[in-house]
Amino acid sequence: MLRLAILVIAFAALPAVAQEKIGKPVRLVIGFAPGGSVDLVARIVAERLAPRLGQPVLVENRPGGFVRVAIDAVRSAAPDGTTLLLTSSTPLVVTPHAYAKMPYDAQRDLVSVARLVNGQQGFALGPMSGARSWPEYVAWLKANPDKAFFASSGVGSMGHLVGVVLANTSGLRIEHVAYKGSGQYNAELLGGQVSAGISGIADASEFHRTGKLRIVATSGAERSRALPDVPTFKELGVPMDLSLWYGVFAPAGTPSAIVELLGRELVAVVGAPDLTERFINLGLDPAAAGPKATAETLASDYARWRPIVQQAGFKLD
Amino acid sequence: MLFEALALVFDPYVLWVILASAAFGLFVGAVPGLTATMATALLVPVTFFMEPVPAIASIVTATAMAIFAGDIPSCLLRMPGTPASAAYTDEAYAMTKKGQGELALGAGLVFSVIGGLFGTAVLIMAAPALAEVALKFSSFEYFWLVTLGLLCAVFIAFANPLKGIVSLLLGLLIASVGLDNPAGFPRFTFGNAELAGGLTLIPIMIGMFAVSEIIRSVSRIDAPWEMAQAQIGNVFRGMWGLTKRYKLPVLRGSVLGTAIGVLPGAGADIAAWMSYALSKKFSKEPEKFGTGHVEGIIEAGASNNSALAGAWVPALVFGIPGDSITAIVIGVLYIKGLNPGPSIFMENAVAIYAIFMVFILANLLMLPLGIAAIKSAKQLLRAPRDVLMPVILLFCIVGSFAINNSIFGVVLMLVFGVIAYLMEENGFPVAPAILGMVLGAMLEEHFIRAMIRADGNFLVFFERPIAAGLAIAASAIVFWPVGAWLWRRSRSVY
Repeated sequence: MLRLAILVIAFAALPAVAQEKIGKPVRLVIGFAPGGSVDLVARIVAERLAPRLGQPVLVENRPGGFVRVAIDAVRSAAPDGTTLLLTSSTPLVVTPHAYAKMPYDAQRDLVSVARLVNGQQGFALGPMSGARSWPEYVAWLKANPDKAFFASSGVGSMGHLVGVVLANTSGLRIEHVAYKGSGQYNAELLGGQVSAGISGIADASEFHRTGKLRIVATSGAERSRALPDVPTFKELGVPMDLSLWYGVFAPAGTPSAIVELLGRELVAVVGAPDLTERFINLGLDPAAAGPKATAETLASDYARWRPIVQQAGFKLD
Repeated sequence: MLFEALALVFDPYVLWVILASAAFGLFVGAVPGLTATMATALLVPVTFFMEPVPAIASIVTATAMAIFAGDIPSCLLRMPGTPASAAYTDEAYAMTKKGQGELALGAGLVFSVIGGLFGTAVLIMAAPALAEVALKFSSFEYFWLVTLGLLCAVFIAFANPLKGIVSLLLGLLIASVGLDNPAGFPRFTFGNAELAGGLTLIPIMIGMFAVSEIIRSVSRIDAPWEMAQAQIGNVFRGMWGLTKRYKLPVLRGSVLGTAIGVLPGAGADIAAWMSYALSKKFSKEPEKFGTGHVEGIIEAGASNNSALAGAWVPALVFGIPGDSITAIVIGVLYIKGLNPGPSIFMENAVAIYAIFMVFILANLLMLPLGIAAIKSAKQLLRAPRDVLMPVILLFCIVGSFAINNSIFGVVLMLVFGVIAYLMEENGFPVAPAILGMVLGAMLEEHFIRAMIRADGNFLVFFERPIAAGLAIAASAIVFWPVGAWLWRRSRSVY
């Protein structure tokens, strides 16, 4: 048993060098189980951030309740820069408008540290409809109203919201089927059980590249750098400008010197050229920004999403 | 190409990684509350520093070891190390009480290896074709599969179906707490963020099995603790006899485990439950089940390890996870430039063959390491009870805390320990409640999703061939006892 323990310790040991500003290992909390794109980004960032801070950076998965559990863990943690939240902007700027009662307020409970990447949603077609473009799919929908479903990775996900907005603005009748995570619905999309799915480009880009799925439109204002040949909905005549971003946040009350330090290091991490390529491969556009710019984006996005969510009739409780 | 792959695997560094991960996997699996999934998550940062083959090798080896090692505390102390062991925890613990702990563990080990090798063989030979079939499963099929799993457990595995159903319903109720349901509606959350996140399975499972056992032992302070263990000189000799005697259950467990593992929506835990139930149904001596009988352990042990290999089929072919472990693996594959997809077998053939060899090597390595682990773990039973019980409680607390790094897990564990103690004192089995928690969320999701797609028409649930077949099997389990009773009655009238 002792020998086992020694092996385990030897195995888990990470290079650790003493550092002035942040004196303890950093926990990077995320609201999802291992495996998704938030998890992947967190692990890439943690790997690069650790040597810069001279401290181990550990990704901690606290899944559940649409990131509520993770947000709760971070906002109640000691505000010393050793507990950080990495999340997509959805639970901070979109979900609060869909619930009448919300236990947290991102702008009150958290302080913005950095913005990392932008992510658009992609409208992906499986083999079920046989359509290869948005107009072809619209024609197929009109001929097959009983099969008019789109899949997303969950109720309240950005994909769900994009679908609701799409139905409202295009006048198409298309109903939502929620899956748990993108793995599950990609399986049914590939298997021809459901005709279309809306998710982060990251979740479908590899299938798009190999031709198993076809992303026919993206949700942002401009084309994604990850999919330069795919038009936006706007270009296709459907007014839409919806995208999310991934950011890092600390508990409110964290000293501004520490926030500045972390923000600077994170911006440098995301700005590294080899990472840029890795993020684009994942379907994410690098968009590094420091604490001040991130806080402004958070505030303006929060205000911008309110009418969109309300007009979409998007209510969860 | 085969030689290139061999050279990749039999590199001293890779072999060292495999050995170290094996020890790591054994340790994590044997500590209750630390799961094979967690072992994988803990390995990810370490794999950043490795080449692709050793990176994947470390995960393959550690998970195979962890799933087997979960049987050790499950058998000796009634603390399932992983949910995949929970199906036969009571059976194995009953064997330990009869002094056959070593036999139960030996069987768990040897048949885990056989199941693992079977699943690997299928993975090597038929991955692309099987993955296509697995995609034919949609919510309709999953709904019936889960229903079948629940019915199997309640109607076949337990002596008293009525009390089993009550326990199962409790499990389903627990599974419904939180926000993570198809409507995203907060249920039983009382405005609490922890409750909104749902009740986590692992602390509840530890509480219901282990803490209830600790309470029981404390409440019967005079009862004898001595569990004299029969020695098996050579673990393998006994096993050869068992293999010959139970060759059909071994094969059935391996086939079912692989098949369920291949499905993207189902993994080792469901496989173990269904195999245990099947084993009892088709056994020549079903009355022995539950009293410490090795047959169910053999079939379910083979089943959960073969499911582990099966889960790699959709992961490698489509990049769709077959279980929570492969969900993490896919991320690692992308980072290492081994992008999953049908072309992985052509573009990265050498690496894939090397990974397959690691699967075989890991399963074979399980034998010597497993025996060493069994021999040392069994010494636990010689420790005095008043020393052992507090230590077990300590491990329970650590495991319950570690799963979400939250004190809420420890509260859950203690509360459900008391509930389980009260249930068992009144003859309600706890295992169906665990199964209800494992499958409850899946059952609801697939039902709602299928109902949306069927536009509320329940008949659609029977229209697709695989769904109809599973539906018939499920109905057969429910109506078989009724039918048999009617048939007997009609015969006795004439």
